[in-house]
Amino acid sequence: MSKECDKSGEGDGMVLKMLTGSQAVAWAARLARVDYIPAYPITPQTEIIEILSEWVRKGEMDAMFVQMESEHSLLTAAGTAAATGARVFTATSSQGLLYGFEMLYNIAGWRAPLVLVNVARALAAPITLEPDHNDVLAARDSGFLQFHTENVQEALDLVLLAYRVAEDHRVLLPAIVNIDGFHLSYTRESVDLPEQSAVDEFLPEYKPVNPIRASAPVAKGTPVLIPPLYSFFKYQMHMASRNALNVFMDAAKEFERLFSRTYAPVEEYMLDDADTVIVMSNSFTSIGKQAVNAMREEGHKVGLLKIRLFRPFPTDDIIKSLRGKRCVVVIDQNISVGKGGITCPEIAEALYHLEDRPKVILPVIAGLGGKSISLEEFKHAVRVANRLASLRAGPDGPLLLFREDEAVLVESLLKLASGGQ
Amino acid sequence: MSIIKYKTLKDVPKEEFLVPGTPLCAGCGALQVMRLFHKALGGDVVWVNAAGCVTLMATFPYTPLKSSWFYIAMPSAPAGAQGIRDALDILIKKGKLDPTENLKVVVVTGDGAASDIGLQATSGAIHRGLDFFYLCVDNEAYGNTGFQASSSSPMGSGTATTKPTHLYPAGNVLPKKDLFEIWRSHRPPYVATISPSHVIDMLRKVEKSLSFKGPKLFLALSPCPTGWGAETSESVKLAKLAVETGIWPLKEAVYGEVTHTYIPSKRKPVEDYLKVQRRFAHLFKPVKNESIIAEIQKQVDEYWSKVEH
Amino acid sequence: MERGHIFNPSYVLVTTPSLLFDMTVKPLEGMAEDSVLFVNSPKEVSIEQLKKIRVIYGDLTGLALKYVGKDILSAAMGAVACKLSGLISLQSTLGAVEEELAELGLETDIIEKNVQLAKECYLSTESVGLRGLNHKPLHKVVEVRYLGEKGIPDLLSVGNTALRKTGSWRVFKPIVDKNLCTACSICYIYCPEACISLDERGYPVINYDHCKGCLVCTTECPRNAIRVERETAWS
Repeated sequence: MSKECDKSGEGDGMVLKMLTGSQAVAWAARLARVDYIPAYPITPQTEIIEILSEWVRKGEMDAMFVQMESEHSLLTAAGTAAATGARVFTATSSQGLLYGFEMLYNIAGWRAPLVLVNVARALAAPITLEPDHNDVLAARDSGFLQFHTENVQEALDLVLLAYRVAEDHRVLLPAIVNIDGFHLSYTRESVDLPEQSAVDEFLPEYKPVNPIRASAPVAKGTPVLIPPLYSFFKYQMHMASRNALNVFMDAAKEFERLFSRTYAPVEEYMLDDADTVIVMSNSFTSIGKQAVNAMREEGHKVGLLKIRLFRPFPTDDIIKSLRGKRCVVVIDQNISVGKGGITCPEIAEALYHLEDRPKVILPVIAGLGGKSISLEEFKHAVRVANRLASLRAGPDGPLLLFREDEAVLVESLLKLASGGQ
Repeated sequence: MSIIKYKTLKDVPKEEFLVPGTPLCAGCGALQVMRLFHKALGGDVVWVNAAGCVTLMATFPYTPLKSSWFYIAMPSAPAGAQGIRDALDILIKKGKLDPTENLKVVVVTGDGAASDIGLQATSGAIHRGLDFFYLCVDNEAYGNTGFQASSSSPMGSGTATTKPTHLYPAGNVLPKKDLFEIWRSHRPPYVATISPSHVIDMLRKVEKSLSFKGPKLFLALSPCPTGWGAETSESVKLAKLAVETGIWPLKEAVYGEVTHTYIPSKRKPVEDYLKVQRRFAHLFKPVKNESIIAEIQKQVDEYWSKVEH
Repeated sequence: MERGHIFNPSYVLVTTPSLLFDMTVKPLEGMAEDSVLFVNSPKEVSIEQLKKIRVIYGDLTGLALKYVGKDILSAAMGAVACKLSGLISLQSTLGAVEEELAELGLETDIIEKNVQLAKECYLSTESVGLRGLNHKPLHKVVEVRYLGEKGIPDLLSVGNTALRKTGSWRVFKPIVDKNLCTACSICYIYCPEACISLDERGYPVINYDHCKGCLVCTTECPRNAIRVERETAWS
């Protein structure tokens, strides 16, 4: 299933494997010794649950795998199992996430920690298979912590980190780890597979709060009909999520000690002397970094900021990285129809009160439904932002990155669809 | 297996698992069913609930139950039961949980959740052979939201969304969905109908079901004074009439094999049951609608003609 | 203009005395010393907190039983509120009762009974006008602390609805006649609320703190040993 390869010069027993994103998150669930995996298939998540079901059936994993009849039921069972004290892993995608949507708010409100991998896929209609982030960002306000991943190694590592943060009693919230469909889920990359003993050291046993037990009756999920009480509980969730920032930092330190890989809520790429910063998340960040390299070669001081932790929102990190920059180009691989990108206003709000805030924050829409983003498109966005800065003008709406060759293609396909007229 | 534990009303267990003070309506049939059902189930229970009237039984910071309770969401209480059952099983199997901490997992929903929005989740749970109880307290409409029609509302009944008008003199024109048969078609170990009026029948069925592993499903007629338009004091009487007219057959199915546990020796006319409820008042006033009443009687007669020979 | 929560009510109407001190309802909150409390009760409620404000009692339940035959209070309470305010005429009040009940699809004779009920309630109530308008309750904004595990909406105090005395819902009171009772336990079995227990000899004991007065016990008693009286006390 996975090809092992040597990593010459390393003598510390580190195992490098060529894994797909799906395999990597399945390994993470296995290494986390999860108890329970409720599942329901949807492209492009299927490989994850196929692998896990096989491991359970072969006895290689001491967990229970149950195939449910919908994502709504899947998320329900996942939440109640976590509230009963099981460590729960599950995965879904796109329409599946939306089908189970009300349960996201419920699980978070129950304060039931679990890890849900979302394999990003753009939303219908029109129905499609390739990724953008309208699915995962729809869950933005649910109370789930959100970790966004760029590569296969990060996908594996952040599942482990997500358990550690979610189950911490200062947090007690469920977590979504996002991996982009196809671009990560079906793409093999070299992965350092952690040792079980090290993962065991990193992840203490899950200690549920008020679990369902014969000896200690409890009523969970009861209606809260008194407005101040509702307000109180909801804000407790917010504070728990904010706590997750520090809990994540501590966990990341421990992770670095054990696994020699460093994770912060954001990742800076060539930022120190940059005057223009591209803000991105998830797998397309890799091509954003390539574009930064190319623009650097041409003498432009461009850098990139990757948002890794989206909930809780790392406001302080974003301020630290972006204050004093001339231009910020926020590439949203999603669209809030009638407004623009979802993350751009959040970035802008984080920077608004700074005296040295950027002159321009350019909202950009790109990569919807898995549309590629070429170097020229990145360059164009950077040029537009800098021109606006020179003119001391603001953008009059989001900038859609779309190429001439794509416009020609669209035109020809529309012609076919209309019977050649 | 002994099912003679309950012979007379003196055998009804005395332990109470539901304390008074609930916000449910006076004379609530669903509450009455739950109280008696719980007595037969015994302790160590977690109730798993979908949105409905009984949801309001436990509203923060109060619960009448001495056992555990988990309100889930309207469509997926059986999936909630699945998560709890599976988690208990795997934690016990892995040695992380003492087996004495185990509980019976009991779904309780109204007929709207059971017959409409939650039917998919129920079918899934039964199909997977989930070891759980399902108690549907059937008051034949969406009671909690103001008595709108559900697919469990009987033909001829008036509800907030099937008001009788000159264009629709019957009120609700659709038939009551046969949830017993839908459940039974999955061939679970145990399915039964129960009525709060026939307590020994109910207790014996619960007792019998306890010996089966897998889905154990109960459909309970739950008179609703508020929605049905009857005096609160008439709840049990109405349930009794439903049984004696043959409208609510008492039966069970073990792995799909149906047995009627009570066959009325001489069925009362359905009119006796209909005329004492405001939801059927349009069948009697201003003029008696003989044809609809006859249609309801015919359906009952046809049902029993297949049972009785 | 107020909407939703009224912070400084001129008058407060309470349908049943037990709600006066319910932790989750708090109807007296924000009342000024000269504002008026109307309580639907056949008799006075002597509670310390009520001494500062003016309290008016009225047996609306009794009137509803008289006119409508049921303890349905909406038209009666509405009429009392209209009159207390001093802003709404009898004609407008009765017109509103008629119109709203017609919207519910009630029959003409039932609407007429409610109109009569509303009329008597209106006429038998004194007008107090809008009071306490200058009263501004003292509010202070505080910071909410993070309570960790204690801030999770789980209920650990199971079986605590007994704290809610639903006995005040009762309009009619079931009373067991020990001379007729045979201790058959039928009332105990059919009580939906577990409000009837059995003493050591098997005779029923009714928990009046919580009995809502559904009277299933009265209907089901095979000996007619449970009689019914209009409730006057509240617990």
